[in-house]
Amino acid sequence: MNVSELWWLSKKVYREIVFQSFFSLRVGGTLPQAGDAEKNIVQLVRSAEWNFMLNKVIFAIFIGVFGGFTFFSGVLLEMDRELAAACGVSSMLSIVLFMMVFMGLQVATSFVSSRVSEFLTPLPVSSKDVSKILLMCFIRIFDVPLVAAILIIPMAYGISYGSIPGALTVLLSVVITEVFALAIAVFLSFSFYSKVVKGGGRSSLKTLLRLFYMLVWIIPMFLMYAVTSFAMQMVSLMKTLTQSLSYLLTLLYPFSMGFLASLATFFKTYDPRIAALSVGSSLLYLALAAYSFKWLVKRVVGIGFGSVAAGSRVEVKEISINPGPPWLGVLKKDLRIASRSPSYFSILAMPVIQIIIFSFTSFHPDAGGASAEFLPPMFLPLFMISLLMVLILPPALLNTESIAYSYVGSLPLGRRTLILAKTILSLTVYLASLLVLLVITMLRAPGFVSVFALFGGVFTFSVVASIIFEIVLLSRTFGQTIPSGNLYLKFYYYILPWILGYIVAMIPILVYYMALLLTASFVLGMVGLVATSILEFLIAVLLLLRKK
Amino acid sequence: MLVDYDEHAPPVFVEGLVVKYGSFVAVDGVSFTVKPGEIYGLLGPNGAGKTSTLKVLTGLLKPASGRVEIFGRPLSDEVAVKSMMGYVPEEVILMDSLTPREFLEFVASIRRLKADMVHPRLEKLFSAFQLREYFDTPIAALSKGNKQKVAVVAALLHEPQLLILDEPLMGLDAFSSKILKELLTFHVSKGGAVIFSTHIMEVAERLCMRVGIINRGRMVGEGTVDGLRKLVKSAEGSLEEIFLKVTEQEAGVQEIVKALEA
Repeated sequence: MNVSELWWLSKKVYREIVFQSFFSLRVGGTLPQAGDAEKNIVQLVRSAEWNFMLNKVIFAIFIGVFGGFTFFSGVLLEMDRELAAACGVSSMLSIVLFMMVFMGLQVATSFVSSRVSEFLTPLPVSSKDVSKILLMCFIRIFDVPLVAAILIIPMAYGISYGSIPGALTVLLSVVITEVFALAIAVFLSFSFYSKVVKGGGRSSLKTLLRLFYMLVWIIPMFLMYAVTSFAMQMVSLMKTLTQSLSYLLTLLYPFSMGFLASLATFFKTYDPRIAALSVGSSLLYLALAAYSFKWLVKRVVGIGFGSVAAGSRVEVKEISINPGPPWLGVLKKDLRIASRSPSYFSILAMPVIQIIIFSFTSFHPDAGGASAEFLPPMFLPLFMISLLMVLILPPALLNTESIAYSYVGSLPLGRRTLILAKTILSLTVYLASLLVLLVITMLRAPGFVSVFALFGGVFTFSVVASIIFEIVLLSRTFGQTIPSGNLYLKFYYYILPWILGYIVAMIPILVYYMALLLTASFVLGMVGLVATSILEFLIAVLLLLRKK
Repeated sequence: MLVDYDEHAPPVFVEGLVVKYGSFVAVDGVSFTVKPGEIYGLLGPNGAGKTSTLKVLTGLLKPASGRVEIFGRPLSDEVAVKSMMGYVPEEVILMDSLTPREFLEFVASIRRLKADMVHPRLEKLFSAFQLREYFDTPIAALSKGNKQKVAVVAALLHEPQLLILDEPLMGLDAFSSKILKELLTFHVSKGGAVIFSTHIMEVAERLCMRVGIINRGRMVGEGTVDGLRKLVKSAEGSLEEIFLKVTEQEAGVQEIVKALEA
């Protein structure tokens, strides 16, 4: 087969993987049930493809925007041009690495678990061609961000520093970084799938191992998040580091690449020892990238041919289960699914992590002339952002009900029980983020602890109300069934209840600030907050009790 | 969960059932009744409307029109109706990331089963279906047949009065098929009822007390196998022959085979 034929075939496999990445756990859900089945599924396939393309474009834009910001902020800081170039390239490469690993983790598991070669191998296509198709398909998954990084970054460098050798060195560095990112993503996905999804057993060690893999999975995501939040600080930090620890840094990736690009640009003025060290270490990373690429090709082809380990068999002594009340059954099921699904786990962990990151980047308790009687001005945005994340939970948790709906839909699960279970879990995450906020406040602004505790505690009633409103609205929108497809694909279903839930949560805060502005009395503000929160809570409870 | 129900009411009562997918009518005015102590087989070619009919009974699909009652209760009495039945779907897709232990714990919690009641039954069912070594293996790693067995165990766990099984023997090995068939016979001997769809005519012929044949969404024949023989005026024909006659596919088979051979 020639390359164009293989490339055409790889598109078919790619479409299947994209579809599976959105619907893999939801086959048997509500797919053929709404409207004209055939049209509906064709639309879903198209919609999955569009969404996937959109994701790729968004990632490419992210790489460009955040990378560019870091890149040029290095130039803007008062730094030698040599160091600015080294810092900018190093920051840019770390962003490309995190972005690509993050995106890779989202998709590579679908590639690992999709058994894509199953329908290729019986066809009269040679194994060599099947391997090529799988590789091409893998490239298609990442094509837009890969090409965007390869084109934009060297061009931006070339324009900024007016150096063709420098731009070519940056091009090489980006390619090396992309190889590392894809290799890391595939390695983690493969390990995740074989150890977490397919690995059996029930020991504490297995649970710990699962937790470890889950953390490994989501850490790049939060690192990326931190990188985008700390971009400016990172460049400043690297300015200090590069000046004092230049020799050591030239040995470390991605700094070695940054120094190499800088050397290629300003080679006449460079310290020969730094030049020698950066060239030597970069050559080593190049060799490592070549090895990683070889490993990547082997692994991608291996995965395509179904070389993922089969699940383990464990002889159990006693066949026993521990059933509880229905709401607890739903809650435990959700937690178990989340403990094996990085996307759900990250949504559960997001409010807490967000609080931690924002409290260090945006929370300045002493700013704005705040006193212990009044909430500091930065508290409200922090609280609002955290709440935005908490209110994503109910739709996300409700979405898990579409998993295996063809069976679960036949179980005698009442709406009230379902809403109760989702509310309790969402509330637990809210309380955990509140607790983290209190600990941080205790460390950074002890004078505000009691105000925060009072405010957050009272506000809990309103949060419960918003969660219940959201789920009730969502279940009305859906009618009898939960929409198929994952949360991101069906975001338009969730956006309106999410906004309305958020408005419900904001009403008591609005009342608090209005009372504070009109009367300048903290007590009256709190009375308004307490009254509105409890009123909302009571209405929500009444709504819940009306459900069967 | 114990649910009060009318013992004299038929386990399944369906009258004028219509199911639509957009403009396509999948089930068109089907009526039938499943009596207590009866195994009722729903037969029909692919796409005839069997699965749609069974999905309506389990509450997975809303009918466009018609009357459906389970032990005298309307389907709108959702939780009570679902408590009385056990269901095995045609395409067994369970929660892949859970293990059978976790999945069954979830099912038992929803069905409000007590641990002391459920353990002996679970122990027996897991041993009977040779699933013990897979109790803590993620469902994603199980073979199709073993997933099917887990679904069957989940359907039998609460000893339901009514079993709704959509192609239950597909994917099961001979040993497990035999066990399931024996279990179904035992279940109806105690007064329970079973409705299942199948493509395997021998199974339907041997197991079912009555069968209903659906073709293009309509019930084209219903009764005992003997009764159907009379209907198609054939004294000795097998259920397969009766099926092909009733669904007007008998002549077509010969023509298609000839065309293929040519």
